[in-house]
Amino acid sequence: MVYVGGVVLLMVFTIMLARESVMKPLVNTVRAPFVSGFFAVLVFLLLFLSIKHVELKSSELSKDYEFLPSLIFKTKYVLPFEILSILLLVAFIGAVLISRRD
Amino acid sequence: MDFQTLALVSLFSPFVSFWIIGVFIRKWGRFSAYVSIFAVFVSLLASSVMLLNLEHLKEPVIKNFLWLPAKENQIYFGIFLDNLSIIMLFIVALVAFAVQVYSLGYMDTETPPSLGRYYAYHSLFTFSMMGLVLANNILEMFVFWELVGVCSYLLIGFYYYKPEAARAALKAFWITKLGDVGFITGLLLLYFKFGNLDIHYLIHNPGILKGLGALGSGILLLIFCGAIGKSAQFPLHIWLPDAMEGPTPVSALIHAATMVAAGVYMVSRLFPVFVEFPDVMWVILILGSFTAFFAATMAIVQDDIKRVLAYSTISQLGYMMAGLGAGSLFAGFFHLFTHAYFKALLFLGAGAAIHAVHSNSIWDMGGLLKRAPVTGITFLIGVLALAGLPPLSGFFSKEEILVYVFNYENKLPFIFLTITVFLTAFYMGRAYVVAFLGSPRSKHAEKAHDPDFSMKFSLILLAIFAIFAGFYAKDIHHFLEVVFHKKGEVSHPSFLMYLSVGLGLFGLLSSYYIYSRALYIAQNASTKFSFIHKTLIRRYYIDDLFEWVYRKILLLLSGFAGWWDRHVVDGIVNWIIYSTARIGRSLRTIQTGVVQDYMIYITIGFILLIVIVFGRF
Amino acid sequence: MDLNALLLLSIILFSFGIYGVLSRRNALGILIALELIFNSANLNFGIFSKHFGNPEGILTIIFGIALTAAEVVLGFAIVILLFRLRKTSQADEVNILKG
Repeated sequence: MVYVGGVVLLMVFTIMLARESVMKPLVNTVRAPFVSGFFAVLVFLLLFLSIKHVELKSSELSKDYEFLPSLIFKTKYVLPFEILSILLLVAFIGAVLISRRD
Repeated sequence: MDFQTLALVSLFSPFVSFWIIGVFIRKWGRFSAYVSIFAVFVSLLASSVMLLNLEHLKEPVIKNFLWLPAKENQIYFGIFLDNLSIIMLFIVALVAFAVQVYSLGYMDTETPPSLGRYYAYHSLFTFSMMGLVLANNILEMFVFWELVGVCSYLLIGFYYYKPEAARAALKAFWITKLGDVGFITGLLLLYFKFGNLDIHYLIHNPGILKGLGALGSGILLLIFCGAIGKSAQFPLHIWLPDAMEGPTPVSALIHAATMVAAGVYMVSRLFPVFVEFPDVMWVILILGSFTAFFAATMAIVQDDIKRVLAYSTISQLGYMMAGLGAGSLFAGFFHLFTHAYFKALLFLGAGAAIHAVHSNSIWDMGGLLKRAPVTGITFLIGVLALAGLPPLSGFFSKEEILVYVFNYENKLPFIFLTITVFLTAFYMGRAYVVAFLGSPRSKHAEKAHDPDFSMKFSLILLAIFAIFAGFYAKDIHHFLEVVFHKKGEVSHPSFLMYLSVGLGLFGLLSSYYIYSRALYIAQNASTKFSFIHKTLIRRYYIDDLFEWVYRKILLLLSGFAGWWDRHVVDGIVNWIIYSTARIGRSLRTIQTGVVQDYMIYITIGFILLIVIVFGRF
Repeated sequence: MDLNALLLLSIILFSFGIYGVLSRRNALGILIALELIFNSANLNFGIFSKHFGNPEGILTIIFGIALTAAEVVLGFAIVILLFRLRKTSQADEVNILKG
């Protein structure tokens, strides 16, 4: 939920700010789309080639493990979960702190 | 007491004295002097005993110890006692003793630490010279050769605060070193060819060098180069006149009687080997006789009495070499024997005169015979001996040389030597007349008087030897026969005797006439022949030649070194600096500050990572 | 489903993300493209979790999403600050770290 909210907010602001952007790119510092396209394609090819002949045996994810994520919370992953929540708290507080207006 | 012990006592007594004075008692000037004089007196006693018992020495005494161990061709140092070395040892001890006693009086104005230093050097020199005489190995002789050179440097530059003295000392060292380069090259060649530098062995097997043909005579010539330097033969004679900057007793000991005689001694020691090579002997002969003539021409225009004697020494050394080169060990060595006494005497007498008038120039002296009779008479004895008048010692030795040189097929050396007889007598007569006869030519000369006891003692001692040494010619000849036996007969034409005596007398009388009665002749001659006069005074410009060559080489080398430093060394450093700056400048452009560029770099890194880790596609 | 096809999807998303990061001028646009990359990575986790039947993969996805959210928030805050200071949101105009 938090995540979706965050991303949605991000997109809204982008659209808002995109109007204000002056279409005046500094050509000499912005890499033309070709360069970035080239690198993107290169990365794609690389990864594609690396998984081409991958043969991995699979095993089924048993259905009755639907509840088990909540069970796992009560085993060894409790601590990271708690820390993660603290992390989110810190991040929000930090964001607010950074963007204070004074 | 056997010979070996006596020799070792004689050798090490001054050595011990050197250490004692040098380390402990240098600041007590006069006490150091007494220690040193005592030490050399002990040496004198030991060598006299050996000399007087020379009859009983049947076999040479050899004592070696291993000095340079090696798998093969070891080098042994040791002493080689035979008739020749014992006689030479005696000469050294006697003159050293006389000079050290004399120095007590002459150096009386020196401060005690300075005096201690002086006598320490004297002791070291006596030890080194004796070591050279007794050496049984050419390398050992070379070691002592260098030591003697060092002592000469130290003593010439004794008044180190005088720049001329410092320069003269350095010049002496350099020029003799130049000769030593030849010496050590010959020595090394000898070692590499035969692995044996033993003198005793070489003397008894002189033929081994002949097997090398031209290389053999080359080696001998190179070794002789050392003698050219040390005994001031042409062209390495230039250091000796400048060496007069040292104290006069030093000049007497080192540059008249002993050190400069080391070259002659070396040739005498190796005489059986030299004799096998007639071309080397010819070189020695012609060089010696030319040097004798050449130096005598320069002596006639000198005003400094010590310089007159210095050129005289060079000239007489040439005589000795000529005698050796003509094939007679006796002639050359006997002249060394007599020359040591009368030349030392002359120097000490000159020192007394200098001490009296506080000046070296003969034109500041005059009338000294009347005022300082002991000095005047002993000096006269020296002059007559040098001029070769009988029955003084110089006559016997000089005549002997003339005989052998005359018998040589090429007459040129004989002509040189004969003219030199006249010149020798002339310049000595000139010096004597101007310095000792006539009326005083300066304020000091009027108040001149005889020196005190220590100086008088040495003068008289040496005068006695100068007079009587000649009578031992027969004995010395006999002793030296054992060392080297001369084959064949030489003719002794009696006209030679009359010739040499006649020329000597003529030289003396003409100089007497010119310089006491007809001074105008000399002055006219110097103006009319001013070119010759100037050339002689400027020593034939040979010193200037040496200096010019030296300067050219030095400037060349330093110019090159400077160029190298400025362009090559600094060039490399500057290039490194420039390249670093350039690389840095170009690398900086990567930092554009734009985030997306950095993203590209990250992507590139990511790609590389994938490629390297998962290499297979 | 075919594993390779799913992985291909993930890879396509990733490549688009890379392209977007490298070529967008707007700072927020870059952030969105970054989101794309993160999502493709999370998708990858999910694919493999299902394939191997390992529930820990799903847990990783949950953590990943949470972290992504935090990162988005902070990135956004930084861009706002940047906008205030530099009056621009163009990535190429912010080059004071040049040289």
